[in-house]
Amino acid sequence: MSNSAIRVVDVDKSYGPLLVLKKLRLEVAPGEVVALLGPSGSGKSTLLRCINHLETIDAGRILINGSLIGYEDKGDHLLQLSDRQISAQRRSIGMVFQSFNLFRHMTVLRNVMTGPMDVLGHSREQARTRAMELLASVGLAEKADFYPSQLSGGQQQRVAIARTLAMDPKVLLLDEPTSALDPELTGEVIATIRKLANEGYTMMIATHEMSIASEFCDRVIFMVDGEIVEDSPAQAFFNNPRHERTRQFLARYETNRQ
Amino acid sequence: MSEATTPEFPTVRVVHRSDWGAWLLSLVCIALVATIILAGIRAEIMDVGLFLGYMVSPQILIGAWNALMLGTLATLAAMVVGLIFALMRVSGNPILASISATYVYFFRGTPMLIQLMFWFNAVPIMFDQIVIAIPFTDMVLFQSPTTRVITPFVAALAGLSLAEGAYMSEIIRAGLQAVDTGQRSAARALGMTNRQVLNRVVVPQAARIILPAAGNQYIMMLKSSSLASAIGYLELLRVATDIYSSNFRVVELLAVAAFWYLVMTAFATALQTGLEKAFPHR
Repeated sequence: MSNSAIRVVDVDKSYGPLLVLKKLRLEVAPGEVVALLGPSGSGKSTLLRCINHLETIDAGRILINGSLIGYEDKGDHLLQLSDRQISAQRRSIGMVFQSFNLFRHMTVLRNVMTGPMDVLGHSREQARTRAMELLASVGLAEKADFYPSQLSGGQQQRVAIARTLAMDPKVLLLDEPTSALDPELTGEVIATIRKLANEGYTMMIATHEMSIASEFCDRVIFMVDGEIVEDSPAQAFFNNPRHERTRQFLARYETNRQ
Repeated sequence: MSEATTPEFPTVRVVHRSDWGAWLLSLVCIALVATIILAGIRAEIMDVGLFLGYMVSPQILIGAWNALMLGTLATLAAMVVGLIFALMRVSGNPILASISATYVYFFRGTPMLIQLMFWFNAVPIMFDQIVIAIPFTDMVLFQSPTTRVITPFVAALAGLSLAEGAYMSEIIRAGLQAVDTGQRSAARALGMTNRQVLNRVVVPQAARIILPAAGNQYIMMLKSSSLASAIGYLELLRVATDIYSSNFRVVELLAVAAFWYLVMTAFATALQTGLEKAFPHR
């Protein structure tokens, strides 16, 4: 799999004495949808934030479509890229956050336009047309002139997804996209994400929502304490988990549901 | 009132208690204020005709205008200075952060009046000539004796801006830190450079948070401009003082000055309210 969309090779990451990622290694093929499961603090979010270099890494390397992210290979060492170079790399890596993080001082429309206009240099008209298309596709065209605070959590998250898609990203990283939502609002966001999966986006979704992992993810990666415990096709993961730790994790979800 | 539907609980009036203590206290306050005003009128502390005459005299108006300009320019300069030092403070670089902290300590820790006198008196001694030249060449762009450059206005503006900048930098730092870190993450994830994150996301949001406190500082600054009277700048208080030291109508002239400071404060308050309405909290 040398033509992987995402490749994480032996990545170490620590916060002070705390090792968050330990020699982490994974690959995601183009068009593949991967769920990242694991208890809180297992390193799921950190992994996603390392992939677009929102966090630096201590060792190893991360490649998107074959190109090294955040660093330049100098033979005997990796040299961190400049702010400008890293920013350029992030344009093609979309990220959706647990807390939506819509820009509060901008209208919904402006939120979706700002990436193409201010980062990609598209014209206002071009950015507006595309933003309206995207808002329509997440079912929120009529909210274009509202401010984020006037929207429900589910609506905000759908706008955040539209804002990310406006950059035409090659891969999408979703960091617990439904965790901050009331249970009755998760459905609309899950439906939006399912649509992206069907459209062929390469995605990594850190989540606690089993329905995301079981219904439309191709693969499930289960992490505990910064290490991958199990990496299996979604069906196999839920039907025949190979590891005891996975079985415990899944059993807890089953009991919670009852 | 709706008909009683439950026989054992007939519909009756609901009576709430009134806070008599607060009403009593209000009466006492009104009485106190009235006593003070009556005492002033009985003692004839002020010639109203003279007061009204000086209120619109050209000298006073120029003084008031100078005060407004000095206070406004100093506030604007202080915002720029404050932003720079606030950014240094949050830069994460230990040397820049300590320089910023030291600046704030010194300039917030010494009276503004001392700072003004320092700029006016000490700087011309420390540097007798001000020269702007291109380094390593003989080309001189500007050269002048310092005393000619550091006029009372320049000294007052520099002194007030630097003193106020220390307060502003703390206000701005608090504003910058109040912007949710998720906003920065989202902006960076979109591919914005650090500068774009600052200009398009952090500063606009911080500005809204800073606005009430900055408006407060502007009002303080309009009045602090009166300190410039100590170094001979012809602002409102200096003009009033000059006039009453020759005709001894102290109360009238102080009242005239107070009146114009109140007008300036009303202007600043209206400006702040307008800005807060134009940029509501989102």
